[in-house]
Amino acid sequence: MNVRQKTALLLASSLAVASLSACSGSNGNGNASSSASDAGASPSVSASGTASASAGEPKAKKTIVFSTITNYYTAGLQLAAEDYQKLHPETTVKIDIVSDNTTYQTSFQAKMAAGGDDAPDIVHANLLGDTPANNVKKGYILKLNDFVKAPNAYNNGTTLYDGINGDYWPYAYTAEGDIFMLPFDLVGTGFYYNKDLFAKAGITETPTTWEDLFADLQKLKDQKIIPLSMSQATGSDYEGWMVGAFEDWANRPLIPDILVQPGDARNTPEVEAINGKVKYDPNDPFFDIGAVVDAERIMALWKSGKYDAQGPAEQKIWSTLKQLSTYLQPGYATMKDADAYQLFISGKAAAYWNGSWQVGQILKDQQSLGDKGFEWGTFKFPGFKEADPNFPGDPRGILVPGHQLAVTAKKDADTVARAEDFLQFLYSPEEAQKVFTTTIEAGQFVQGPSLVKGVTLPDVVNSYLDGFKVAGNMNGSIGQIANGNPAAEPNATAEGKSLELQYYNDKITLEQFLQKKAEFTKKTNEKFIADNKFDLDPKTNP
Amino acid sequence: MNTVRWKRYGLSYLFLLPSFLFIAVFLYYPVILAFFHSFTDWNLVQSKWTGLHNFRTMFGDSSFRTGAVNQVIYTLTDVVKAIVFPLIAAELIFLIGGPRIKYTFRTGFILPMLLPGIVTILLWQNIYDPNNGLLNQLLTLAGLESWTHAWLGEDGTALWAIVFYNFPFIAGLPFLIFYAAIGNMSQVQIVAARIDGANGWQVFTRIHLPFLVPQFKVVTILTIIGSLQDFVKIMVMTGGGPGVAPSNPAMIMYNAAFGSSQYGYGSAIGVSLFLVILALTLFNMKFLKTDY
Repeated sequence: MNVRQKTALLLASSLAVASLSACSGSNGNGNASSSASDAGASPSVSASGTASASAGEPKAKKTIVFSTITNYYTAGLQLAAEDYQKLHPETTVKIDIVSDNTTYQTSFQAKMAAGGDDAPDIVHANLLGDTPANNVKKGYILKLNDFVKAPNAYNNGTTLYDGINGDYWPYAYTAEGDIFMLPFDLVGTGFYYNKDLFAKAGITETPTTWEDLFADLQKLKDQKIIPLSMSQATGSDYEGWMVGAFEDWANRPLIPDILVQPGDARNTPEVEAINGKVKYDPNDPFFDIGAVVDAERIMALWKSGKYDAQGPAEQKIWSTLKQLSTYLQPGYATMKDADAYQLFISGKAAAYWNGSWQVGQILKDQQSLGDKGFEWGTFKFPGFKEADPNFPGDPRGILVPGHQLAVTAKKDADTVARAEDFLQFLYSPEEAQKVFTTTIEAGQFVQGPSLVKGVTLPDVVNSYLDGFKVAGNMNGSIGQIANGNPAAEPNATAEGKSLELQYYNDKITLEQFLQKKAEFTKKTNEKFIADNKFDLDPKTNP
Repeated sequence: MNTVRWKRYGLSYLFLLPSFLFIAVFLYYPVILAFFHSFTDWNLVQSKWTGLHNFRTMFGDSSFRTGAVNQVIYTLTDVVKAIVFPLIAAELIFLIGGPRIKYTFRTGFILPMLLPGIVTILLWQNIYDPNNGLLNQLLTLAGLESWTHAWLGEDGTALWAIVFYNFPFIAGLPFLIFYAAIGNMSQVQIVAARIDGANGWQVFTRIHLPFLVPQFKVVTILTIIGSLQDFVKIMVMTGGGPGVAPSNPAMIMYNAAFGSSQYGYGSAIGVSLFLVILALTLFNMKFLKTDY
């Protein structure tokens, strides 16, 4: 054997060894979406329920990255990462804290477009800059169908599917019927209010109708108190949630029209199983829970003109919001949420519109304020005093899983298996409880009630969260038939907001505003239809 | 290159090479890419040739047109701010007596250059704050409460609040350029003019200003480039709102590229800005012609 042959043999042997070692790191079938047990990383469970590493674990040291947003459970997650590493010294879980949503989205999409090697391993499915269905299709996040049904050794063999509150699983499905995320907690929107300032203005009960709310806000205004602080700045335009709630309320009977239906090109047995149960009932705010919406059907509904985007319902929605704007803090159009919150926590604004995730922050700030603190509470998005046929049933708001954890589709199956194993650990009742408790103690954002079964929150926290338990979750897409901008393009958002502010500032009348809004809707929806090559026949797949 | 030159300068070329390669890869190559992608629908993953579609969209977009008009206001006022106020400051300091006083004032105007830009922007955001801001508080103290505004939150005032950011506009670099140039002027000419009966204004307009033309050219070009590229203060102070009131093309470009992954459209705006900067620079060089 000459030198060249020897070199070739050595090279071939090296390649074979490398291939074998690569196979041993995966489940052998090339399926990255393996369950933890497939990967041989499953821990054994002692009688006390604590997990310990089994002999079959990979020995190589590796780091998995859990990417999250500043302040959201970061202290709790850090603790969980440390606890996990005690059990699995070979796996380091790095909690990567990103400063804001935009950076999170841009960074993830860019890293995945570049091959995904540098992307985090565990991500927030609702912060990825595209729909979950598209991210699954693009191969950016994994389908978790098998994973959630695998026994979780950290929870006495109870699967994740059974270990998480079943009411909210329907939100975890893509339009194709695949599970793309694990719900961790529940979030809602509502009003915080300063009980002391309300009492000073002679308000004894929290308002339940818009009429009462306006009367109360006027009393506060008469006392020279800023009645309500709410950000409408770019990137934190929380009026959008109100607009969404109103549009959902007015258009609720039309929701079945925008759902994927039998015979549609995008229909699958899984989707049909979910959407088949949807029967519109004005008295059942949960009638469409988890229903899968079809973007082409929304555009077809808009084009049909079935909903009068300049009609009485729209007039009522926008005149109500205009009236509300007269009670907002000066500069609301560009004031960031952090500054709006400052007005509330410093006692300058009597009420503050936001979400349940702010409870932890307020609890912490109230502690810091000491004697200067104030009594506070929460109340829900109100209804109208007189029943209006244009607004059937009760208003809904945001009531969805907040932390929606997904697994990045990495090429390295061993990394995926470790990320999934950490998630099983995180979703064990003991560890999830620690995460919530640590987060509250650190004054960080507990977004809402836990969806991990067995986790409880202190009574005081639960009482504050009551104001956010609205009557069901609004459909966030139906508003596109009235307000357009289905792609949520920032430049179009600014243009739409500009129209709204012209109306609020009396530069145009309600009729002119609705007319201009209809033109804006036409422009943005037509562009969306063209960009997506929709033929507006959902039975054909463009 | 012959052997002698290579022996003499080879090492210098070698030292220059890495820098040039970096510039080529990270500046020129992306610029060339942007030119190409301005004619495509590009989302970082897929690119489709669309010809002039992005440019047509740009000119047909009412927000872009508003942004373009705003940009004209920003650029004109930026140029005025960069020339008039630093020049006045430089002249005044040049005129006042005593090297120690000159030194103190000079240092006072230049020290703010050391502050990170974002600090100044946030400071001004606070000055304009409608509830706790200095400006409204001063107006209230002066009995002018009816003049108070949500300066950054109203579409009638947002743009002008941004224009008046950093008042009295004595930017360190233009000030230094003018001050150095005035200090280097030939005193013989000025003394001769004085003997001939020229007053201070005449010395300023007939001797100083013509002498400062090259400095005006540099400051104008730098300011135009900076103004057309700048969207940071708009972004930080107002987030681009209310609506599109204070927006400019660079802001729209950023939103298109990084807010909705329309990198092709963003590139088209970027290319247009580049062409505008190039045209204005050429015009400026021709208009303010100097011998050197």
